[in-house]
This record gives sequence, structure tokens and C-alpha cells, in this order.
Amino acid sequence: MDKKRKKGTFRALAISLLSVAMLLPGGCGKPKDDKVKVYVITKNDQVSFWDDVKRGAEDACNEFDIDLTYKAATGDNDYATQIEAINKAIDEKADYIIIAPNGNEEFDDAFKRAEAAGIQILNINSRTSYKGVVSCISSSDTDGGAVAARYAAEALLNNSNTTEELELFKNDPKAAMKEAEGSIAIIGHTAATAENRIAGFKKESMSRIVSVLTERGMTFEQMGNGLETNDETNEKFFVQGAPCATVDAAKEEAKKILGKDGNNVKVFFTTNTNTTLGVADAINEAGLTNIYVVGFNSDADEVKYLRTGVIDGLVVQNPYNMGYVSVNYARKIEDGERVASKLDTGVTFVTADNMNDDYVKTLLPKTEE
Amino acid sequence: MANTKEKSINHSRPYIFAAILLAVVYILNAILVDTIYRKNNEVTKQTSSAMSSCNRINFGLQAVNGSVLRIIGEVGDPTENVIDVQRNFGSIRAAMADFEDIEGLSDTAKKRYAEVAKIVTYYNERLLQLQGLYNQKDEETQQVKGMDAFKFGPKALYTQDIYPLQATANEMITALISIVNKDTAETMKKNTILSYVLMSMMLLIAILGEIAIFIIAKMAKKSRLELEAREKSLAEVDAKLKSTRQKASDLAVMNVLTGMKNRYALDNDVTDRLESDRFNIAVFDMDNFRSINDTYGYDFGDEYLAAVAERLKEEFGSVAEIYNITGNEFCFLFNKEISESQAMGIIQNIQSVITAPYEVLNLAVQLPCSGAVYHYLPGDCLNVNSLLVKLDTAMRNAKMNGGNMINTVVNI
Repeated sequence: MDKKRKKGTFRALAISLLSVAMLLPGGCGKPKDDKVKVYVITKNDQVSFWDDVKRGAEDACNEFDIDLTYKAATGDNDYATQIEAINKAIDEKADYIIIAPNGNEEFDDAFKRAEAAGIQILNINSRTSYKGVVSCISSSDTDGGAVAARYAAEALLNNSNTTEELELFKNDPKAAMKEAEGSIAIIGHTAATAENRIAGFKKESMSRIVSVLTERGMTFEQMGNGLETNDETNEKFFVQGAPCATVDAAKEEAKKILGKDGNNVKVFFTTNTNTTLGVADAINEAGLTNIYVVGFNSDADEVKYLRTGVIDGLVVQNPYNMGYVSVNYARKIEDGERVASKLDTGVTFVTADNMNDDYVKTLLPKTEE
Repeated sequence: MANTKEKSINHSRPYIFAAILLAVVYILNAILVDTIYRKNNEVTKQTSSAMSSCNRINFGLQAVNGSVLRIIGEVGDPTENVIDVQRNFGSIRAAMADFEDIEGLSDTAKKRYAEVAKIVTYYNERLLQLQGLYNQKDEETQQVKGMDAFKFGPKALYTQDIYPLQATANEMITALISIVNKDTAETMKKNTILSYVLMSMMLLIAILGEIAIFIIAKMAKKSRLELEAREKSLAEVDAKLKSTRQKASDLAVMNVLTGMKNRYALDNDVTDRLESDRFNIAVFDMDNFRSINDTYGYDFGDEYLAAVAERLKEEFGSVAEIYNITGNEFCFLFNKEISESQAMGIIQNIQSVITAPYEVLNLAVQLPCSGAVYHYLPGDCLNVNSLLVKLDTAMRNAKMNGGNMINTVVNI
């Protein structure tokens, strides 16, 4: 065999072997698909609630090898940033948009474009009315309001001087009802969730009041003109401030309601972090100690007020679970599984008494653990 | 024979090595495949246990939910429903303990399970709280207050506060199941890739090994052929050497000019016979041969001697061994079967042949010759030298008496 021919034979043999070696491991595997792209868009970047949502989403993305892009708006009214983020998700060919919307119909056009681009939309925290939303992972707003009302009512029952009030109800129901008018103050935030939370709160409050009074031996007649069903009468118990987007606005609104001496307010209910902090600031500055303050969420400053007793209870959602489950839903849809159109991740009522419980601690900011 | 065996071993060495290499590769391959198979089995078992635990937790939670809803809805015996809740939570705790006992789960699966455990534990605590609320009894009637006392109490507490925990726990468990499945698929995939890589490497090693062995065998064959060629060449050289040695040896006992044995050959042939044998031996020398050399030159003289010698070999080679012991002196050692009388007759003939005319280089030459014959008896002489002295003496006497005659050695 001459030298040239020998060289050619060896070259052919080497190439064949290399091909076989490359084909053996490579030939049997499925080509790797591109990662699923998920855009998580939250309401604002100022409170720790959304950091926990992000943490849950990141955990799910890491666990299921999903590509995450996170964007937070600058505040609860900032839907423009969110729409911009949706447009970016469309441009970057995202597969899923998970959004806690700072509005409702404002998103219709953006959602339509996203849907047309084949992107599936999930809501977290609150739901828009857009029909194409596949699922909403949130805690029930009405239930959250109801939980606040229930605990507030129980606290009042245990702590207030109810005997005198009950005597008044028995002897002069109309006077008693007049006395109770405006004893429950409410300040909501500017989003749709506030309305649902307030509705839940009011409904449960009335149920509680009726239950307590019934337990104390009062009849419906004594409570006055169909207390349970007459909305006009019911509304008299509540004094509701204007919706507020910021802490300062809520503080000013609370000052208006409370006046200098509290203005007969026994319960103050707020619907989000900013309103809760605003009201707490106002009560703290006024030095009012006999008002039961119940707010929403678990921002670090809210938890500080809880420790110092300015706030009595916080309805805490589970933002980590919202973030985690929403991404997990996207993964399920991608895998062809069915998901619920709505999942209630629930709320926990946190007080100074239970804030050190193991589970409750996980719902609070780490600095407060 | 031993050399052939050694050669055979040398030739088969690459093939033995190839067989050993193949066996090693196959054994290693079998071990690796077995290891991967066992690993996959372990993973399957682990996954199966994890799935079973997760499903038991999920079913348990659903059963608890059902029992709680029956309590709230006042369906069936409340006491039995409470017992059901407790029993189902017992099953959930057992399933959780089983899951915690599973070894080799990924950190991701453990982290997700921790979330599940946290929620399930809190769900249990809140249910106990609900149960406590439900079991409150009226102080006066000692009847369970239940729905009557708290019109919206337990139901609201469960649906608003507690049920979402169960729903979220279910979601976390399904996520956990997916994680375990994903981990399993990844481990299986890794093992499969590993097995393919290992098998490819083994295959590659085997192929490269076989190629190396093929090349070595080819080189060995080439070396062997070269060695054989060299051996053959050496054998030829050896044969030539032997032939040369033989020639050299022959030259030592042979006269180059006449092609007859020389004086040393006579020594070799006769020495051993002196003691025991009886034989007839004769010598002849051409008279005045020097005159030929002086007249015609040594070359002519040599040609003349060669012609005489050739004739003597032709005529008497069959009856005697003929030696050319000096220049023109020939010695005839008669064969054993030749008797004394026969020897005497032959001697006459020898003289006739030597003295006959010869044509040398187109010249006719003829010289007389003298000779001596000795009927040797055992033990007459101690050595060949004394034997030849006797013969030469007898022949010299003949020459001194005029030459052209034959004397007989007389035994004294």
C-alpha cells in the first residue's frame, strides 16, 4: 500500500469513528426545546409584598427551568409601565404574562395584542374583566375583608364595654343605633380590589354585629328596622374616606375622619399597605389608643406598627404562594394540564399574639422574623 | 522445535492481547450498564415512594376537606366527622413521615416539601381551632352551639381562613409531584447519556485497541518476514562459509595442480592403519624431471604433471588411492582386496603409464620413472614418515642404479 493511499484509509477510518462516537450519544436524545418565557409584572416596587411575589415566581422558574422576566410598576396607579412591559413581552415573544394589574379596562388593548401574539395571560392579586385571562391567583378580596371584620368584631366583643351599649340597645334601640353610627371607619385604596375588600368587610361586619347582638339577647326588632337587610341603615355604621393611592393621602384622609379625639370611631379598616400605613401614622400621631385598626398586607413598617400596638391586626396574603402558583400554572398549561380559572391563596389574620407562630413568621418580611 | 514454539507464541501475542482487551472492555461495559441499571431502579423506587406519599397527602387533605364540609353543613354524625378528620390527619402525618424518610431527593424537592409541610401543619392547627369553636357548648343547655350560636362563624372561618390553605397545599403538592417527576426524568436522562457516553468510550477504546493491535500485528508480521529473510540470508552465508571451509580443508590435503591428495592426506589415511593393517603401497618419481622444467619452463612442467596425474587417476583410481606427495612423486595406496601379486602387476602398468609419451602444449614429451613398492606388514613402521623414508630409500637406490626401474622394500 503506498503512503498516500495509507493516509487516506486512516483518515476515512478516523472520520467514521468520530461520526459513530458523536452519533451514539446524540442520536437518541430529544433536541432541547427553547425555555418557556414568563413575564411577571407587579403593581409596584415600593413594598415588600411584591418582592415576595417575585421570590415565589423565581423559585418556580428555577424549579421548572423557566425563563423569568420581572417588571414592577412604580405605584398602584401606574398602569402605563405595566402596558409597556406587556408590549416588551410581546416583542420578546414571551409565552406567558402573569400580571397584577393596576387597572381594569386599561389593559384590554394590550391583552388583545398579547393574545394575538399567542401569549397566555394570568392575573395575580386582582383580576381584570378581560375575558381572555386564563386564571387568577389571588386571595379573595371579599373574604379578606370579611376576615378583617370577623376578627375586629370578636376583639370588640371581648374588649369593649358592651354591657352599657347593650343596655342602651335594649332600652332605646334607636338611640343605640344612633350612637353606633359612624363607629367603623374605612379608607380604601384606588384599585378595584379595595371595593371588594370593603364590601366583604361591611357584609361580615353586619353579620357579626347581628350575631353578637343576637347572642346578647336582642331581637331584630330591637336592633331597629331590619338591620340585617336594610343597606341604608347598615351604611350608617360606617364612615368611609375617599380612596387613597399614597401613604400621605391616606394619612390626611384619616385625620379628616378622626378629628382630634377620634370622632367616635371604634374600628378603622384599610385595604392595602399604603392606606394602612397612612391611617396608622395618623392614629399614632394623634395618640389614639382605643381604636381597633385592621389593615392589609405585611410591609415591614406595618409589622412595626403591629408590634407597637398602633395596628391591631393585619390581613396578610401569601404573596410568595401567588408568585409560585402563578408560574406553576403557566408550567401546567405548557404541559397540557388543566388549571383552575381561579385559585384563592387565602389570607391569614396576623396579630401581636400570633406573629411569632412558625407559619405566620413565613408570611412576614424576613427582618421582622 | 523449541524455537518454532517460541515463534508461534510471538506471532499469536497480539491476538491474545486483542482477546484480553475485548474481554476487559465487555466486562467493564457490563459492570457500567449494571450500575446504571441499578441506579435507575433506585430512582424509580424513590420516585414511586415519593409519588405514593404525595398522593396520600393529597387524598388525605381532600378527605379532611370533605369531613369538614360535612361538619359545617351538618351532614351526618358530627362526632364521626370529627373522628374522620382526625383519622385522615393521622394518614397525612404518616405519609409526610414516609416522604421525609426518602433518601436522595433533590434540594428543590426538599424545599418544596418544606412549603407543603408548613401549610399542611398550619391547616391542621387551624382546623383544631375550628373544632374547638364548634365544640363550644352552651353553659346552660350543654348543647353544641355550632351553627346556632355562630350563624356564620365556622363556615366563614373555614371558607375564608382555612380552606385556601388546603387548596394552596394541593397546588404545592402537585408542584412537588412535578418536581419529583422532573428530577426523575433528569436523573434518568443523565444516566442514559452517561451510559451512552461510557458505551461510546468503550466502543472507541475497543476499536482503537483493535486498530492498534491490527497495526502491531502487521508490523510484527513485517518484522517476522524481515527476520525470516535475514535468517535465510544467514543460512546462505553459513552454507557458503561451510563450503569455503570445506574447500580450504580440501586444499590442505590436496595438491592444487594435480587434484590428488597430498602428503598430509596420506598421513591422515595411513597413520591409524600402521599398527594393525596389512597393505601394499608404492611410490613413483619421474627420472630427471628437472630437465623438463629447465628446458620448457615450470608451466610446461606443471602441464606435463597434470596430464600424467589425470591419466593415473583414470587408470588406477579404482584400485588404489593416489597421492601426489611431492612435485613429481606419486604414491599409490592399494585397496585392501588387492593382493601382493596383483599389486606387483599393477605397479608395472603404473610405470608404463608414467613413462608413456604425453603431448603437452603440442610437444611430445616422455620421461622414464623409478619406483618402490612396499608390502607392508602390521607394526613395520611407527609413523608415515618412516614408511615413506623406506620407500624413498628404495626408489633412490633404483634411480642411483640407472633409474627406470622398480625396487621392493625389503622387510628387515
